[in-house]
Amino acid sequence: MPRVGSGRPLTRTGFERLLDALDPDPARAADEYERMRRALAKFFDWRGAWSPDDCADETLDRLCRKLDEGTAIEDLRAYARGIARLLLHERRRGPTFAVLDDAAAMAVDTSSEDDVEARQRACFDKCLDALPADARTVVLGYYTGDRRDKIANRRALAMTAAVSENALRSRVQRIRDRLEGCVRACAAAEGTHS
Amino acid sequence: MSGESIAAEARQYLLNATSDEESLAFERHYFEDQRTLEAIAAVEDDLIEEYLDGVLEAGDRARFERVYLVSPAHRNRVDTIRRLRQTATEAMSESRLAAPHPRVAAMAPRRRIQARFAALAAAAVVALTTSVALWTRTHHTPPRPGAPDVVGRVSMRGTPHVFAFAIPAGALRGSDEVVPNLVIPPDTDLVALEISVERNRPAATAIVATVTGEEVWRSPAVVAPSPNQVRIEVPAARLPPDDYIVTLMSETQQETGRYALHVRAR
Repeated sequence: MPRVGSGRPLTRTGFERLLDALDPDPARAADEYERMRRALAKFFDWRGAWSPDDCADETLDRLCRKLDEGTAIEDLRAYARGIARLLLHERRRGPTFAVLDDAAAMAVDTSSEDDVEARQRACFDKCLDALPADARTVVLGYYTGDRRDKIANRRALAMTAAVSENALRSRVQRIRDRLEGCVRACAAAEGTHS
Repeated sequence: MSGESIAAEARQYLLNATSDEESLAFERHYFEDQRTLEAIAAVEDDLIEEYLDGVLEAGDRARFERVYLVSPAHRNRVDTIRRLRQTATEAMSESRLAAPHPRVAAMAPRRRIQARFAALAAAAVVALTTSVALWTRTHHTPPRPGAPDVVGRVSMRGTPHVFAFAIPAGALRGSDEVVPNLVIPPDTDLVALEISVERNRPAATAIVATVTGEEVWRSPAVVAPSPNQVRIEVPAARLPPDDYIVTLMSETQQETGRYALHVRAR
């Protein structure tokens, strides 16, 4: 679904045009959209942007608006990359506008480091417990063992689950992304962001 | 771009040690190719774990702290992985020290979860770390009409049970050689395919697909047990009776060999 970014509101037409341009088949277009969003979020993340997911959404909003205005775009991915680089530049140059949850996290924390660590650890435990049992087992199993045992352990986990080691790693990353998001939100609510 | 060169470039990219032109080219690559994106994410995980293990080379470590850890999202990621490792280690220690039943029952819910997990994790670790010390024996199944003997070995390595099956050079698809049938013994967890290759055609990856092109397994090909063989391990559940094609690929994604594999019911 189209989101409302910081500029003009999106129209359904722009979003539909984007999906159409990605692939005429609606299911494949939705997959492509998710792939593009993930690539954008990773781009902002790896470039150290504040709130990579919001930046990815803002990029897609701008892309939709361009399509809505009738701009002819030959290579969507290249165009999206161009918008993303521009947005990254803007965010680095301009003041930081954070959503309210993140703004709370930016507030000055006068607690001792031990207090902060204890509260963050409590957030982590709460979020870990909130994961479905199978996801918790997989993610903890993945991080079991020291450097020597870890490789063999992960291999055994992949075999047990009848998936490749790459597929296991991707699954763990998705679970971890979820955990990170939960910890971030919890820490923001507690005002203990690192 | 080969796997190794992606890994090397990804490391530089993540540590912001690439030029703007190099970053642009790299970004174009991972926007176009999902596998490259996943490969970079894997390199990022390795980098974080090396940092937490204290094995990052001094220059990379300094750069990691100066560049990577500046981002709050990255600090959150590193903290999350550190705490996951810590929780997993605590759970393992508890499972080693605690008496199984009464103690687990008395634990708070979170501790019970850790203990349950610990049993699974311990089993997984033990399965692999003890495997070297266990035994193998040659296994022959009766000949089947029209097909030569199946030559394989059952390796009882605690768990999982591995059935090794040699694919000779003559099983190259398109050759006139009769290809032996593979009959997977019951209770087999893994089938180890040992494929004969030419020394000058090294393989980095093996892909197992049905003859209709459906990929059922893909994994790195390891040179073993001899220099003229590569070995891959496939979960037995992924190989129901059918005809398969095993394709070996080089690091540069060039096909280096193609073999027929016939899996038959007992």
